[in-house]
Amino acid sequence: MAFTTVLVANRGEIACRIIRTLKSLGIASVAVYHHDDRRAPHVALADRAVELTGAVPVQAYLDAGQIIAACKATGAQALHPGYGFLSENADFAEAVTAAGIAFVGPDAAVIRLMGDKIRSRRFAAEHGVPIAPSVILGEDREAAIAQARDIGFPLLIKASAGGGGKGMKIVRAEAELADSIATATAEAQRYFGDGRVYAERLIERPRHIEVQVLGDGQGQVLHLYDRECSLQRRYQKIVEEAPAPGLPEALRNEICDAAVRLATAARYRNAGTVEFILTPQGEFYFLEMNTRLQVEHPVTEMILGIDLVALQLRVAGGEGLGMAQGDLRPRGHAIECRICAEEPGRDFRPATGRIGVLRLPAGDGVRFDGGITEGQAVTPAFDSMLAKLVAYGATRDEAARRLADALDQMVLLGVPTNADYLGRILHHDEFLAGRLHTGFLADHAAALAAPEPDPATMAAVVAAAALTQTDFRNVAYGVPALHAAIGHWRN
Amino acid sequence: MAYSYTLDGRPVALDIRHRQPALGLAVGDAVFDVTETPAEGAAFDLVVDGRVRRGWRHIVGQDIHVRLDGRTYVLRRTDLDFAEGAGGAGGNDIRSDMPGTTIALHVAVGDTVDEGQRLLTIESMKLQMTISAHRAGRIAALHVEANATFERGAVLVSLAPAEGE
Repeated sequence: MAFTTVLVANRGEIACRIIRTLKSLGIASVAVYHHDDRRAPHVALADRAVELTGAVPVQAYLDAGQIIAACKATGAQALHPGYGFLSENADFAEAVTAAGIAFVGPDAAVIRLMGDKIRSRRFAAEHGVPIAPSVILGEDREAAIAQARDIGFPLLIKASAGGGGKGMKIVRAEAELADSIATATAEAQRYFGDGRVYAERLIERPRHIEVQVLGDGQGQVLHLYDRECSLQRRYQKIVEEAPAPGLPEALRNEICDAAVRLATAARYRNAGTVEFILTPQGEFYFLEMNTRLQVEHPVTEMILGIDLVALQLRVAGGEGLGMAQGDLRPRGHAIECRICAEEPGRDFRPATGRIGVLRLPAGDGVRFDGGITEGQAVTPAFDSMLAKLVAYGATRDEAARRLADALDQMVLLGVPTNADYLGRILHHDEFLAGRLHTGFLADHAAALAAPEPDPATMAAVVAAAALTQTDFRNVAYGVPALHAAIGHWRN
Repeated sequence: MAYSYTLDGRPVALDIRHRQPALGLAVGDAVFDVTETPAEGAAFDLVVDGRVRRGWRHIVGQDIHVRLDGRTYVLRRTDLDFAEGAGGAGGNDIRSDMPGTTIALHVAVGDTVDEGQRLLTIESMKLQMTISAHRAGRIAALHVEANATFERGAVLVSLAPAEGE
């Protein structure tokens, strides 16, 4: 069934990105928004918009009842959840389906399986997908500690319901173990309402490699090749690329095949991502499967020349995959960076403010996925990611150069961002050499710190700042006090 | 007359040395000739010692954000007496430098705390952080409750004045 109206249950850049595909397919789009977002780009971009209420903005976007009612009121036959918010909420997927609306995602049972890290790891192992040595830290603390000792330290404690680094704790010695289990359990309970935790062997300096898959729900699954997402801070990715650089072809195939095996076993429907860690020795272990569109999906789209949102809609409409594995031929290289409101020089502390000046970059192979506009407030209510900048090149070097140029061109003033820091990553020799691992940003922190500007640049910057100030201008240009008070120059 | 700024947190002195034939500005240890060409909106167009420097600038409260050659700098005028309040590190008040929500209070009014002792846990943009005491002292007031939201710069905790203050 081809949809004529689709509701996008999200906001920001991903809502805008989904609406763009809906427009190109001639499908009417419905946005939802909280009052604080009433002037947000995704609302303006959609054909219709429905206001959701909530004491705090996040609550509105998490309100399943209101969102389903909005589908009904607008005649939307399908709902695209984007990422975050309700995208991996099995109860929501179930409620949407029960209301007769197609959920652009997998079945609730599959979301539940993959959302439970303990179950999904067991499922992976049962289907021949390697998992790292691990132990479930249950009620019997003594037994858990004994098992953990058998795996050996350092260990990484993770929440079964977790993701995105929340509730993760590194334990370097047995003495820290009991305390870390208690803290991780409490955090998991608080964040996810599920205090179950497990520990696995901590792989030092691993690479984070993931595979994009697409399944039809009938047991047919394609892989859309791999992505490298090793550059992370606070366990969150900030630079991603496709394909993973320097991966031996045999290993790449093995990893992609493992992902397909897992998704096939789950009779997966929708686009999904199977995440792995790759050890420096070339062993790979299943981490988790994300049952939704991934933030970094554009790099895959660029090297394959596909539109993942369009494919998601096709599959959700029961039209099948429409292609075979052999039709997918990656070409060139794509790199994405996440532009976040944060201060890299202050331990990546999130920043807030108002976007005062915004000039978007353009150029060959450059794609800007944003949902921001001048005058928009960046509040602590939502995630700090403002936009994604992506560049394609025939080679990795070309993609990196184009992306660095685009970052250079971009002007986003009013809120501190990591844009300049991202630019320094793209120029770093080790990055260009493709020597990536999840400790990269910490290892190269000194080289990635903002350098001291040269004296002439510093003079230009200080002069540009001082010349915005009336008292300075008056002295500099000798404007009479009365004339100045009339104010032909204002801040 | 000298002006002082911080540039990304580091102090920089600025002085006007001459006005003719071009504006001569002393920045750091050197003097630069600066000529200004009108530019639209947030753009600026300067010639500094013969080199064209085009960029963007934007005023945010006390800060001036300047973008030049692919890099954004934050400058703050420091020779004007902006009222900062009595707080800040070393004072009695502990403020949050970002807006957020209190997750947990770890101390009560009247408690004696050590330097570095955690006072509260806050959450901002989905990240949890601990606010610690910047000096030893006694908790004079808690200005927030658990699960309360607060703005950037809000006083969260006040310590009783240290002895001798």
